[in-house]
Amino acid sequence: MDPIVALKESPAFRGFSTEQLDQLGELVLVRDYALDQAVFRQGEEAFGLCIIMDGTIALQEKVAGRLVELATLGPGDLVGWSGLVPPHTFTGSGVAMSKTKVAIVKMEDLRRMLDEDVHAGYVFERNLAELISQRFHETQALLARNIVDW
Amino acid sequence: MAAKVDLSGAPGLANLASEQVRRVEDLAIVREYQTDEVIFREGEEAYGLCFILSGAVKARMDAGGRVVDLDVLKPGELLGWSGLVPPHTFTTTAVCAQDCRLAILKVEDVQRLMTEDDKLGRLLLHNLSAIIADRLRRVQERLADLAR
Repeated sequence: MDPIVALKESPAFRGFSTEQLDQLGELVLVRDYALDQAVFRQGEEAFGLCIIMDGTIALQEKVAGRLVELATLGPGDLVGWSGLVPPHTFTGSGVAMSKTKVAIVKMEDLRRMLDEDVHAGYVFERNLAELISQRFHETQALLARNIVDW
Repeated sequence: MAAKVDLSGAPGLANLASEQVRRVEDLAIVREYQTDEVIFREGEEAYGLCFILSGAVKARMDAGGRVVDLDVLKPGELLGWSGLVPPHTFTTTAVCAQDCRLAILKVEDVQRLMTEDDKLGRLLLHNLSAIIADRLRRVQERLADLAR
């Protein structure tokens, strides 16, 4: 998958114009990760928004000393959005479950672009709210099922 | 009927200028609910964002026929944001846990405000993301507690 295609197909940038996507494309870094390699670690400062181009990342969180698997993410999925909201750190760890290729937009680059283009900033924040809300609803439903089963 | 309400300290309006806060406050309708009164039901079309001014609200969900209490929300907290993001229906039933006052902003009013002012819209949505992220962490912590 081409980085620009990854951006274009990512729900985070839905509604962005071709020009805005090209501008983002200039900011993208592409990184490769081997099986079992950490893509990011819980608690570290969130360095960027990561879109999975190829491969799979397991999202894990350590709570009270216990590792809990939160989700398995694949091509097109977005991780690292926690850098855009407090506490601006990765709230979980991402581990590559296979050879994985990730398109990364650094937080400071993204913020600068969104500050300069007010409409893009609005569109992005709308998309981000939808993404986080979707993750919340899925997790909330999982909690409800777990409480019933417990 | 719209009533004057002070939302200046609400996390949902963080970093808004006074004039922007005033524009949001002007949209607010204040409603009071008694303990155990249902504020809205899971699955209904989400008509408004609700800021809790006083009291407490329980969020409940139907999990396969069994009603589960998921969270208790306190003054300053926001519920009903699903009006602004998919699925645009309330995903839980909100029940007044302790006599409460809510400031309700109709979804169409908030959407119009955001469409008219991209900067204000961006700030509101950014704050909304922070609120939802915080609620997500709470849910993840409860899930982790159950897994122990």
